[in-house]
Amino acid sequence: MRLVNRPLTVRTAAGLPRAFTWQGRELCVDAVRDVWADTGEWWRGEPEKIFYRVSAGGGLYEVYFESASASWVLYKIYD
Amino acid sequence: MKTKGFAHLHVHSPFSLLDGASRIEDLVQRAAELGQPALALTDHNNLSGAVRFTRVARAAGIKPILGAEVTLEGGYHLTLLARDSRGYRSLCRLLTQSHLTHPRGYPAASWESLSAHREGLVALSGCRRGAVSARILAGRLAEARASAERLLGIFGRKNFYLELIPGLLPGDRSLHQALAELGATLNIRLVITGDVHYARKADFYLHDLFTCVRTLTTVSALHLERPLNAENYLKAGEELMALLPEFTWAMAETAALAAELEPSLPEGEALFPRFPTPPGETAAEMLRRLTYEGAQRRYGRLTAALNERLERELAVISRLGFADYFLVVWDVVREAKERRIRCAGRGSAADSVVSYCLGITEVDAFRRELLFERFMSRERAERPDIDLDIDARHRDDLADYLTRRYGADKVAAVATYNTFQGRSAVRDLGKVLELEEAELDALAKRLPYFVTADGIRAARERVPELKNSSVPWECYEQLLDFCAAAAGLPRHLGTHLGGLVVAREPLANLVPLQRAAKGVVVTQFDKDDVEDLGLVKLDLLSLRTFGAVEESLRTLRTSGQPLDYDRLPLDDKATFRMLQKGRTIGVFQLESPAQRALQSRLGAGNIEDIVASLALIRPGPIKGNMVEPYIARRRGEEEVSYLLPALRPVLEKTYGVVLFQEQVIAIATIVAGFSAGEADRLRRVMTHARSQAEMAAIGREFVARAVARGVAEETAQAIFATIAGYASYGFCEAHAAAFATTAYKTAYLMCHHPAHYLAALLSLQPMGFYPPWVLVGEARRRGVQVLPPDVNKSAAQYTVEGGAVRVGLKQIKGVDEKVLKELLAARSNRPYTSLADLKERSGLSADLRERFILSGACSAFGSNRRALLWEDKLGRKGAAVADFSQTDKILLEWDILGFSPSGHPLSCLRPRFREQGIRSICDVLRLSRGREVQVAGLPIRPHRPPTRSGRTVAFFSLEDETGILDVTVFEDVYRRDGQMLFSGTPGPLLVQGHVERRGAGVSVTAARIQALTKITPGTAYQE
Repeated sequence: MRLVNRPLTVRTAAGLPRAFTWQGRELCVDAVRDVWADTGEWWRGEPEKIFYRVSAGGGLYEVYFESASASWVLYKIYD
Repeated sequence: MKTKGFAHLHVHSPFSLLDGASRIEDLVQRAAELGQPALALTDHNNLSGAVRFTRVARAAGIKPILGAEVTLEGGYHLTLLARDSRGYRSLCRLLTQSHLTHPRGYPAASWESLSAHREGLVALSGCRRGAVSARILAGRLAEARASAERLLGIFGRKNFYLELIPGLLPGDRSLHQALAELGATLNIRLVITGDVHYARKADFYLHDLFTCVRTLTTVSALHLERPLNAENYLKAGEELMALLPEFTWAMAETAALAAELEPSLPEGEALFPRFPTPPGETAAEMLRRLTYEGAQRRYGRLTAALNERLERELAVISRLGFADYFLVVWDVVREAKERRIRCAGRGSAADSVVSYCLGITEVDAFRRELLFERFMSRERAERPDIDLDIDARHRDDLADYLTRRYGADKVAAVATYNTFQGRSAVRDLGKVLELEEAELDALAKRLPYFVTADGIRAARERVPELKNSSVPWECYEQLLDFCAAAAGLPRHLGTHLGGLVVAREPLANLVPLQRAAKGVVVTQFDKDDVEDLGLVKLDLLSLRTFGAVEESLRTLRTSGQPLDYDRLPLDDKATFRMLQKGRTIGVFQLESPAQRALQSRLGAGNIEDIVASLALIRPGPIKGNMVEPYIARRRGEEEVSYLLPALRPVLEKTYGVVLFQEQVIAIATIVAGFSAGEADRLRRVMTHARSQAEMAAIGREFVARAVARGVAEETAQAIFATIAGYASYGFCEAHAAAFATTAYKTAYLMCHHPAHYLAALLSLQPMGFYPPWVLVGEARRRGVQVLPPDVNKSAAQYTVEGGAVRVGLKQIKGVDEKVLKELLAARSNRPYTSLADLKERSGLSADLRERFILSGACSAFGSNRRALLWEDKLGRKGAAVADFSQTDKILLEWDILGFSPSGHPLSCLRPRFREQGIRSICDVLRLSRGREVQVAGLPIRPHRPPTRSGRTVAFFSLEDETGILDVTVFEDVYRRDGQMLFSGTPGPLLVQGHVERRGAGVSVTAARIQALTKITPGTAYQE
């Protein structure tokens, strides 16, 4: 498992990630395995994040969406 | 619509104690906004919110479903819902068993008890801590299945559901899938719940802080019980459905179950016990017999009017079904009298002649023409409430008697819920927000006790000790927001001071029971909720004054001066002369500065003046400007007038001023022809009227009915305006009369037997308005010598020794029961003869021996305290060392005893004060009105009662070695100097101001208040 924590461009449908580009390759999401929300350190002003564990292109990835900045981040890659 | 009929079946309110962050009202309101037809309440192991929730939900048009999330042995959670009243009763029994068979704070239901109390209950498999879900999450699928099968076996297919909670938590998808598969395999239906802990998403933050408080962590610390996200809010069915789109059918099951469950709170049942009457006699007949026997004793001859009154009362009591209640109370009083425990009824029960004849109260309601309808009437929906004051030392004995008489399972104390107030919210929430603890403590200490958690911001603008402080408010904005949100939410369960419920059947069928601190078994409902449920509460209130009375009578008896307290003359001239001087420190209910000032102006000459006094010094009459007209009329300085001649009989005893609630009722009866019951209802509506429109509507009815009886419209309107103005703060005459006798009699004791009475007051502290040092000062002012503790002469408590008060050994700091027992046991063989003897036989530690020496308790072994110390510590007997100075002796005694038998601390500074033109208090008391003075003393009980103008006026008393003086601080001075009075424990103060004289009372109006720095041994006061 690798911690990446890098911004990501994600294509969505019905609010769910469908594809994203990583290391120049567009990966299609095969399945959303799990979804959860995390409020983080709210007392320090950290915004809520929605995490998605997805399988894509034969790998397992954790990406999150931060609604406050409307941005996606690739959080982890499961090797 | 797929979510039609959906209702939340797993909801926590603040009664989950630190695991629910929204008021019941807010949860219900949100459910109503979302159009949900029902709502369940499932707090952790309690039904504490059930009554309020039922009331609020019904008012909002929502069906209330009662339940609880119970903890099973092993720590697993299970959601239980009552199908109907049978289910409610099962839940009460189950919760009671969970609490009473496990250590306090750790309730747990066994599988056996679950099985025994399943009737009428529906079980949902629970949250992630449920036996099924927890095991699925742990990967123990076979165990999860076994748990599901076990629950299915207990509750049956109709009453057991697997619970899907879409909480946006990691693992939700696989958990839900596994639950669905299990359901399919075992043919168990599934429902969707929200595991709601707050109404709206924004309430999550407070809930998270509450979790930190509960788990003793802080916001930045990790804890398994900290929620990961803010998803436990009360969601719309559509939101839940969006999270679980594949479980449409479970949504339908949820709606179907919600529709099946009925409101389950018992209603309209007779819950009060039947009194065990003799064979062949009903409760009503027994009550009648006892009443007439009592009437014979009280009155001798029964007149037609008395007979008519008794019949009227008995008819109402019997018709409303309260004969048993009166008999239960009569029986407690009978038991108390048999055991010589002083006790007396207070409150509106004293409006009843039946209560008087039964010996429950000591107020002759017939002679006083008190209105029974203020206490009970057919029109009045509320249950009567009889409060008994009992010698505090024996209150628990009578509670035990009730338990033995009716069965331990049918008697319990009533709970109270301590809620977040200003101070507790600052401390609890500030700590978890990781604010500096010492600063939080300083802020909390500065907050006056009356500041609510949502009133801190307002208070910092107007309260001097906050405004004129160095509190870094800018650091606390977030904290103050959370404090405001937490305001009034329950923090923990406590025990009501006196309330007990006695039920016809085991209480556990009606309300869950649990243990409060000290092991007392309490209902999970507070006093209002037990009454709403239909249980009748009996208040056995501890009154320390009765203990002081009994102790005085005992010491008088043993000193050969027996006193027939119950037959004291009620017209003793010396006692009234004392009252007229305002010398009432230590007198029950008449000792506050306001009462002292009133007494010195009123010129009380009979017991009725005392009854009026008790009603006058209340926020209402003070705000309503009733005090001055009353005094003026009482003194003959203002003409007594009546708006209608017919009102004269009602208002004559209060000089035309409406002072008592009973008078409001009588006026409505005379003027507008209301029945007494209707009139009491009118009084109560007027008291609680929330709007001008409501009050105007009542006024129209009153005036219309008065005009119909021939009263001029203008007069009727004027009378209504008068009673409307007074109704909200009028005082119950019966209550005032019940207290007045004790007030007078304690004044008699203080007047004629000050040493005995003060020794008793000091022995039974805390009680009354003043700390011990003020009572010691009062003893001196009355010429009663206060002798220091003496290791050979003192008892544990204060005693009377040749007309002087001897300080008890218990007063020495650090002396506890164990120390005393050992010390006194050794002394009972022979007195202590020397310090060495004391050291050898008493078991006193070195620290305690030092305190004994410094407080003067070892003077039998030598008068030089420093030499005694040397002897004790260094073994050098008869060392040639100088004794402590008088100042040091006084200050050391003050530190050890809380006062000084050797003198007053201010006396040490008198020479310097004289040089600076600072007068003694006895000097000020002789000065004429308007004289400018500087006076110093120790401040006593600074307070800021409500005032008519709404402006803050502070009052306190100053004491020096020569006397006591009241000081008034008006708004401008209060705003500038108020922090001297209200910051922590104020030290000695210097007050500049001018003398006021009113009647026999003298006070100073402060122009400036300055603190004198704290005095310590070896130093002197400094400005």
